[in-house]
Amino acid sequence: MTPTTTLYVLNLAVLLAVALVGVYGVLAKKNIIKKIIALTILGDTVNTIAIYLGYRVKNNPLPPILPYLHPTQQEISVFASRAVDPIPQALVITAIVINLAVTAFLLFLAVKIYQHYGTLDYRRILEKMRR
Amino acid sequence: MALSKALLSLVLMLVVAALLSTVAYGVIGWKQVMGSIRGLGEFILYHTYNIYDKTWWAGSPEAVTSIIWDYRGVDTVFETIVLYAAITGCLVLWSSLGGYWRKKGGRLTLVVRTATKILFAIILITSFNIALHGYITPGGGFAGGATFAVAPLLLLAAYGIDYLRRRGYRINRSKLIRSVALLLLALIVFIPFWMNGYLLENQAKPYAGFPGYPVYLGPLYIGGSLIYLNVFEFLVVAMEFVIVFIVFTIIWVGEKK
Repeated sequence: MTPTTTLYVLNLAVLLAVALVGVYGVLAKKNIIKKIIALTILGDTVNTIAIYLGYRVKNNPLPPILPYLHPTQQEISVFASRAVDPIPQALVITAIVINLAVTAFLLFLAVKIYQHYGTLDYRRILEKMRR
Repeated sequence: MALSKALLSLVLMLVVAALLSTVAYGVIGWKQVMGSIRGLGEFILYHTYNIYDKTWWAGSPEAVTSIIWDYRGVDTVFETIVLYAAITGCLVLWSSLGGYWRKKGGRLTLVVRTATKILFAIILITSFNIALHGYITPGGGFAGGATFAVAPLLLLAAYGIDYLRRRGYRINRSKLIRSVALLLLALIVFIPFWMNGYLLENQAKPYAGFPGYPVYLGPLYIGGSLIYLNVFEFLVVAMEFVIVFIVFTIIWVGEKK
């Protein structure tokens, strides 16, 4: 394994670990706001993993933007053979915006719950609901 | 009880880890990760600004923007709809909370207020730049809109929470700009359809009658329909984020019942 490959695999492992932290937070935290924070951590980590999968470890990769307005045929071929995958990046920018919209909506629901029950601890909310 | 819950969490975490690894492997395969990318990505990279073979080109050297608004434009249209629905839901919930502006909250010192004035202008210019250059440099409507939305937040922090309302800003104005921008975006999407092309068509295709949006405006390179879509998306995203950020800042939960 070259140093670049080692770093790539190591980074991927770290990202998976962070995603697990997000899953743990969503499952185990009692406070709704902490659950939402964990959810954003999970979402952002998965987005990073998605971008990461489009990377080229070999071939000295380029960004997916052609830096010329009048490229030669050879420059286009070199660009296509060395640039990183643009598709995950395009999908992730969509996912980021949707993530933000969903988070905003969840936060509004949390505010509404707080207004109604006076607490954000879901155990106490359940208690109050049963009464 | 607590132990079984912890065990359940652990098992679920491991399942998610296995799932993510499988998806990661299935999407690209470890052998491919090391050297090449998938064929579709390479196809787009090769054709997005291929001025010698214009059959599949998008007229933009920025591969990501050409995917967002050309190759996979329908994704982005639906994403805009999701964003619109979510923000509308937020506003409905806000109005059910009373929908009023919080009056309390002082303003910050003269130093901070002066710095905010300068930063406000810089943030606006940067966001316009990101949005207008989205078809040749990294960025675009989303990045520009998200940058823009920070500016009013700074004003609220520095000048007091009631400042924008005292200066005549109303949330309905943001909603109006958002709706007009959405209509213009829809117009750009539908124009090729009315001219015997297909929805969201950018450049001319051999099987569609639409001649394609102009790539050059005189000597100026404008990148087909991407610039219009980026600008309108910038307006939509900026106004929706402004609404959310302001409403969150001014929200006032009221007394407990």
